[in-house]
This record gives sequence, structure tokens and C-alpha cells, in this order.
Amino acid sequence: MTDPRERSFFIGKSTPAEVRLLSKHLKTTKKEVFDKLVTVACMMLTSGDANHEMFSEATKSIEAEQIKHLYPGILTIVRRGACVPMNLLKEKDFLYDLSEMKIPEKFHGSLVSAVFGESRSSLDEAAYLGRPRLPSIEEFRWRVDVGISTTSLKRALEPTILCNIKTDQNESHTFEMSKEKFHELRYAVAEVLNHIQQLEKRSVLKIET
Amino acid sequence: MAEQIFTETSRFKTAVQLINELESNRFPKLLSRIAEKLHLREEHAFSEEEQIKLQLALGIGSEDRSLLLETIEFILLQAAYYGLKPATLHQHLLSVNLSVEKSEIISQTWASYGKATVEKMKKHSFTHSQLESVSWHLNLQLAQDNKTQVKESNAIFHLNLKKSEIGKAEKLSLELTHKELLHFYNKLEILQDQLDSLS
Repeated sequence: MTDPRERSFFIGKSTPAEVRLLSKHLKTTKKEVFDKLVTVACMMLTSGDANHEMFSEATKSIEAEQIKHLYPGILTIVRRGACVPMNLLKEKDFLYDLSEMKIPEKFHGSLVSAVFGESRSSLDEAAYLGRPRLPSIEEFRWRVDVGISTTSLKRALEPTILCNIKTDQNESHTFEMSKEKFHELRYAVAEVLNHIQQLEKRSVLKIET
Repeated sequence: MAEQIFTETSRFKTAVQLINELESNRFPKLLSRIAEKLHLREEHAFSEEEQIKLQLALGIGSEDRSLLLETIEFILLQAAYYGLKPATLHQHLLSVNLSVEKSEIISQTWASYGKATVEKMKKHSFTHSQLESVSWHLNLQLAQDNKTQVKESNAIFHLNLKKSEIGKAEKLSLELTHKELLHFYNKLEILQDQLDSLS
């Protein structure tokens, strides 16, 4: 076990208020209620569109007062526990920190399985998908047209490309590209890909943390 | 010469006379200026001021000046429309009674500017939205609020679109992960194959 003086608690510099509140009320809490709330916390974190109805439905068997005292602390513990990559936070250190935060041992089980168990990968997946980002390309459609004649030219025979990009935010953009602009776009994409491939080869990224 | 490219309306005949009577020393320069700006749909070759100066320099009235510039423009636009070779243009001009001297000057100007003008005109498009430029930057995401030690590369693209309404431009911002980039690139490659098969 890492010497606790050499690392900081997984939860942060000092015990957050909601966790202190949690530890105060644990003497009178049943294990089933606690475990249920841990499951609810995982569910809320994994679901992409978590909302109040979902939460109310899941916690309907628990008193509102209890939820108020216990849930925020549980949510914080699960969130912060799943924040650091699994190979960086050892289970033993996690358990040590929980004891330091005055969480009795009988409640450790469900927390450990939430952070280190099977459901961890869905927590990670949800964190990845929910990250802030600009719209991405959901669908890219194109069409090559050759303009035969125009008002200015009887015989033009100029190829153009008509594109439609649909983003994952459900916006649809239609625009035209000349051959030259298309080459610019293609070149830009290739150049970025090249840079990414080089970046991913570098040792900084290879260091297994 | 199968087609009559220029119809001799009375207005046109007047213009031809005007052209023939012009002094030849200024004529090539005048033509070059018009030919240069021919492909621009919004701009005229000469500004208001310049047109008045031209009038004075050529010793003609303002109505004649308009007719002159219009007709020269028209001649060159027709040459572009029909894709005329300079020699063919020369013949057509002779057939509508332009002097040999002036016809030669006009077809010589067309020989210098013709190809470039047509190429530029080919690129004209009045579609609603056109790609004007692409800019990008590459990021390495290190962390987010619920995840640390992230090492995800992603690229942000700005597709700058020019709109048909003057003054409006749209910036389409997209973020692509490595995987999404590859996917996009493959689609562009298929497009490129299509384009190649056309030529």
C-alpha cells in the first residue's frame, strides 16, 4: 500500500462537506438502503439523459430525509473514485481513504464494486460520451455534378461537388465545393490524420500510467 | 461559320461605327481593362469617375461612352459564351463591318485574356452555400471534469462557407476523433475516385 503521506486522497485535498454529512448519518443507516443508493448513483452516472423522474422512481422506497443526508456523499465518492483511471487508484488505497473519511467497513463493499467492479466500464463509457465537445459528423452525403452550360458559357463542363453534412446535434448543412476546394479539404484531413498518427507514436503517450 | 453571333441591330451598327472611328492608340488599353474585369459579375471595368475621364479622353459624349463600353463588353461576353477562338472571333467581327484594324485588336486581346476569363467563369456558382476555406487545429485532451489522465486526440475543423447573400458567411465547426477522421477520410477518398473517373 502506498504510504498515505505520499499521495493525496482520491476524493481531493480535504473531505468534502457532503461526505462529512454522509458519515454523520451512517450509524443509523441500514446496509440495504446504502447499497440501493450506490446503485442509483451508478445508474444516474451511466445514463445519458438522467432526469428527476428516473431518480424519484428509483428512490421511491427511501425516505426523503435519508436521501438528502446520504445520496450527495455517495454520489461524490463514486464520481471521484471513477474519475482516476483504474490502474492509478489501488483498491487498498481507496479503502484506506474511505476509513479516513469515517465510512464504516460494512458500507465499503458496494462502493468498491461500483468503482472497481463490472459496472466501472459503463461509468467510463458514459464519461467519455458525455464529454463537452463540438458537433461531430453523423452523416456525410455527396454528389458530383457536371455543369454543362451556364448563362455565361455555352459549354462549361465543370465538375462541382454538392455535400450534405448532418451533425450529431441534428443540424443539416448543405454546401457546394469546387474541385479545388475539395482538394483543400481532403489535404487538410490527410494532414491532420498524419499529425495524429505521429502524435500517438510519441513516447509521452506510450507511458502506461 | 454556322451561327450569327452578332446581330446587326441599329444600336449595334451605331456602336460599330463608334468603334471604327476611335483612335487606335488608346484602344488596346481600353480593351485589356474590360477583358480583365469581364468575369466579375458585380464590378464594372471602370468606376464612375474613370468613365467620365474616358469620355473626355476619347472626345465622345456620355451616351456614346456607355454604348461603346457596353458593346465591347458584349462582344467579349459573346466570345466567352461561344468559346470562340481568336481567329473565329476576328471573322465574326469582320462580318458585322468592324474595321480590320479594330477587329484585329479585339481578337488579339481575346487571345491574351480569353482562356483565363473562361476558366474563371467556369468557377462561378450561385449556390446557396459554398465552401470557401478550411481551417483546423489538433488537440490532445488531457482531462475532463469526471475523468483524469485522458489522452484523447481530437481535431477541430472550421469549414468556412460563403453564402449567396452578400455579407453572410457561415462557419461550420466540427470536432472529430481519430476514428471519425479516418471514417471521413475514407469517404473523401471514394469521392476522389469518382472525380478521377470523370477525367
